[in-house]
Amino acid sequence: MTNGLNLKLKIWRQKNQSSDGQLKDYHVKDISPDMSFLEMLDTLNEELESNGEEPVAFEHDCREGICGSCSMVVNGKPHGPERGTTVCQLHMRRFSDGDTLVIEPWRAKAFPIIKDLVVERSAFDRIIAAGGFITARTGSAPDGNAVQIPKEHAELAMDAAACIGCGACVAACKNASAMLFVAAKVSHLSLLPQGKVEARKRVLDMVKVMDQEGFGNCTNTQACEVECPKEIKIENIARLNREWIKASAAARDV
Amino acid sequence: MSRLSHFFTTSIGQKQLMAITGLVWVLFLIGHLSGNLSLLLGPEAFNAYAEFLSSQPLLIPVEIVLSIILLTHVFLAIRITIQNRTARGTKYMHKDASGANFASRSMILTGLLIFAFMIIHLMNFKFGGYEDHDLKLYGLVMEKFTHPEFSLMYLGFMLVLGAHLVHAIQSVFQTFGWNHPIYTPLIKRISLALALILATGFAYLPLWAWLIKKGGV
Amino acid sequence: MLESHAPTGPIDKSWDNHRFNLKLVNPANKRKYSVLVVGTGLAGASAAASLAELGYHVKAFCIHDSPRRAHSIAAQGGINAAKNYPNDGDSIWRLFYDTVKGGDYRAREANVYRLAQVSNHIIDQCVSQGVPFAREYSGYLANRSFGGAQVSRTFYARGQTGQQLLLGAYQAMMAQVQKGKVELLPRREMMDIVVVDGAARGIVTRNLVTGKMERFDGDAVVLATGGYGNAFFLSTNAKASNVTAAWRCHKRGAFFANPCYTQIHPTCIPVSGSHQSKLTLMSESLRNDGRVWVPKDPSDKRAASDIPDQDRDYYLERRYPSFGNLVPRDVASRAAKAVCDDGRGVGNSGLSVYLDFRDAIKRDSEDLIREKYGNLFHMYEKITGENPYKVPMRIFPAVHYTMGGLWVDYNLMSNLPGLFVLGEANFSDHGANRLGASALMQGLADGYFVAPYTIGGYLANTKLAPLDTTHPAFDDVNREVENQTQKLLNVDGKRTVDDFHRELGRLLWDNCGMARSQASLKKVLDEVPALRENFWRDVSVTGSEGELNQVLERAGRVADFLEFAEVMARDALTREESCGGHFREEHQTKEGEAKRNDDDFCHVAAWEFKGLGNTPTLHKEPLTFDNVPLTQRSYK
Repeated sequence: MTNGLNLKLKIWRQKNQSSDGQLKDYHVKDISPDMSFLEMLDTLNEELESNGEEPVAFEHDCREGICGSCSMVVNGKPHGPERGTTVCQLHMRRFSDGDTLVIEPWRAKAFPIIKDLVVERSAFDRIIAAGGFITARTGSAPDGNAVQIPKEHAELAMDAAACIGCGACVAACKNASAMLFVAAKVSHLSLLPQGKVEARKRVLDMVKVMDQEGFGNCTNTQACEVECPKEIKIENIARLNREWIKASAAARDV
Repeated sequence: MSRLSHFFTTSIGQKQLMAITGLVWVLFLIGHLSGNLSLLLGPEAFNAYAEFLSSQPLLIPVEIVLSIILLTHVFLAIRITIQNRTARGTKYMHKDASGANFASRSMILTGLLIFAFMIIHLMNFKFGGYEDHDLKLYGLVMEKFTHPEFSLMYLGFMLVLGAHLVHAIQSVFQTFGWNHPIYTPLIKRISLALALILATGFAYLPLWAWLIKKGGV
Repeated sequence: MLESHAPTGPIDKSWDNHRFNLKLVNPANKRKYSVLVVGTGLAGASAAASLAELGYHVKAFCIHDSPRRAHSIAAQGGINAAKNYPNDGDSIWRLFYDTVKGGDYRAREANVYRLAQVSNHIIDQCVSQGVPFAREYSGYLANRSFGGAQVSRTFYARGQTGQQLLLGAYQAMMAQVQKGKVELLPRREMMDIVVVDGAARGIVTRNLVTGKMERFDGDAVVLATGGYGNAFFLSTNAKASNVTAAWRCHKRGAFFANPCYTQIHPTCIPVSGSHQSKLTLMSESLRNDGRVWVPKDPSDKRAASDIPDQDRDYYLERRYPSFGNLVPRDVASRAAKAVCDDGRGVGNSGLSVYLDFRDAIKRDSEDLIREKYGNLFHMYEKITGENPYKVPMRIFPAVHYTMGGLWVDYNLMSNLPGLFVLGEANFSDHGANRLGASALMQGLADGYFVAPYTIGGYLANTKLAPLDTTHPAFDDVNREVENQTQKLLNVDGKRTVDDFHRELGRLLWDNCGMARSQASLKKVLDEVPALRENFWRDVSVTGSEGELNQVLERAGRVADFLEFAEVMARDALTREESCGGHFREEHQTKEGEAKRNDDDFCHVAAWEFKGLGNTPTLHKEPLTFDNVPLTQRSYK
């Protein structure tokens, strides 16, 4: 291919959670601009594998920007330079021949590195388990149209619910705060009438677990909003703050 | 008490306390600047204003409360910063600010500088021995500001104050949960204007004293 | 042998009667039963949540770092239900009828009727969980027509319906995790099933972080591990989607039903080069407003916008005047293949057709189109670098869904007692072709509303001897699994796992894809064993066993695809008819439409494993159609 890219990659290699990692240099040649970023890494990995070397471990699954598995920082930017895009949907036409790309894992104490670019994000699951749901026992639901929901609320809830739980917000935040993630879920659920019943308990419990997991504090820098591949707005963080204040002021047991 | 500790020990609680304590000091700054502008009216007006303030019976209690609020703000800022550094763990090899502006990223730095400045400021003026001065506080102020290095230092600190306030004021609204696609841009502009007015207002006084009045009365 | 246990009598009462006849487990005893749920997509997560709510002790396993990442999340278009909110003539009966007909009369009537029945409860359930379905300005739920349906029965949450439904189920399950009723075991891959006294009693998993084999015992095993579309290497499935769990159960005795039924989705983004690692689906809802065409003249190389209408062939509208661009998926896919075979395909490869929104934009304005499909257009532009508001999209069919799967009876239990199979992993409800927006419906129907009853019925009716993971059966399975892992690591060859997978995929796509013939299928049966042998001689599996080893994971899955491919081809070869997603070139009408053979093939083909290299045994479950008369599908 004539218009293939030649790139220098500096990739974080780390054997496991307890060992130290470091950046290692690699070169890839003749990368098609139509490749996705992960396909570029596939190319590198296949080359490594055929030489009997261990390929770079990275998480990926759907490769269409929705599962939230992929998680790498490219030149300091979670999911790479393109806004509103997961790294699996980032295409190599975004880069130029001769570029150097530094590829690192998410870095947060609450997301320990398991290997190379793979981090453990189960802290997010524990936050959801703490309250990120509406209790609706299977079988107990009334008719779907029993409760009208203003279109605007449904749309705002959907905006927030679009979160894919990838953790880019944490990776981007200078404080490794998970507020955007938590805010997205709290907003999604508290905007809907069904979610209001448990709203107070939900927000207090989720924030409590968020703190316990070791995420940092939000200082309103907005980096999360900029890097969120689903462009979730910090308006949701404001809503989370509001919900938390309401709940804290009214709670009888704190 | 348990409610207070709830605020002190949760991330969002600390954030609220930061916002509230900061907001009190923004209000203080507005008051302080309005008062200080009487410097421009000459010694009588300025000294009368200073006299009026110091004769208030509630001055000491207010000062104590303000100090507590300030120390809370500083204490929380330091604690939050430590928590946040710990939360990151290993730093990125390749750094990129990801859209966050300088002001928002440097609050702890600008904040600590402002705290240092406040000590200098109090030492020089409140405890600077103005009672002995011919023209009381007015005289002391005018004298100090004729030293270029002193005035320049003030200018520098006001720049820092401006940077701190640019992020701080609009941030309060976000922290209190007020974010709206129409009002928030407006709030940000007003915050910026207020930060600029406060910083330039405070910066104007040494400049005025040094370059326009040249220390004269 | 193959007893479907489908109730007889009036079909609209059959599920109610059946539920009444199922024995109940005493509430106090439920907590003594433990159920292993493998897979946490729509079917698995909803089953885990519902079973835990009932009081069973549930262990839920997933291969991802979080259950929320299961590939159900990628479903875009919507979920069907017979609510008839739009008052356009829909009913449970019509949804049932459409699904049986759409499946080309190869599904079990009673299952499909039940599916249509519970579809309404699913919507209610999901709304209650906070799934943000699209709404009208009135605040009521919005519907759209989808993939060939002539009524608007599809509920949707923008282009992310699967995501929202999955998050609903995931959240319901996580609530049970918090309560201690579900034990969540992420990053575990099921390596095998443990069968004791003929019943499924446990599984062996590999901990994907430590590499350790782990054993779990239970009173029932629920498999909700999705389909086998990745046998083709390139598909719209996620990279980790695999057949391993189902295949290992098959090797332990569970029958594999209708493996030849694969759905090729007509609207995917075309392949851009040999580096392609997966294909991206564009929701079929696009066909509501987009018009599919190719140039009339194969030599016409003008840019799409320069080709006037009289030189365009809107071939779906031409061939199927009453359904036009909304014909079912199998029909649309084959039509696209036909025009490309005809040399009229567009794009560099000649392997794509246009999906044009010019007229819709002219009619409705760009803003309205953006509101409906904005995220899809955005995704298309991201991937291809072309702006679909200005130039027509290019699409091509791709493997998307597999209707075949492990054989299950009406209770969703396989022929291995205690092994329940849910969602795409079973074969049950879609016949030979699945209608759009029905996969989500089936996954959730199985998990929320069917399995929780039928598993209870099984447990109440069965006396299981107490056992734990020290039972010798666990030792045996564990050893076999470890041996296979060691064997993979010891090959020490030169070719990458993906390279083998790509070769297998190419072989299947060319010979067992949209069109199949006796010759092509024999070719597959000839070549797969050789490829498999090659794999075991020359594959390069780096790293070691006791660590996170993604190459080893992939190698294990590809090894299973290399075995599975044979039964898929054999099933296709044996089924001497065309139906739904299975198109045999020998069996078509003069106009090139699929020709069924109801006399000889109106049955489910369930294959029994007889050892690798041996011909599997075919068991037939006859299908009867008492309620929807057998007719040749026509979308003309």
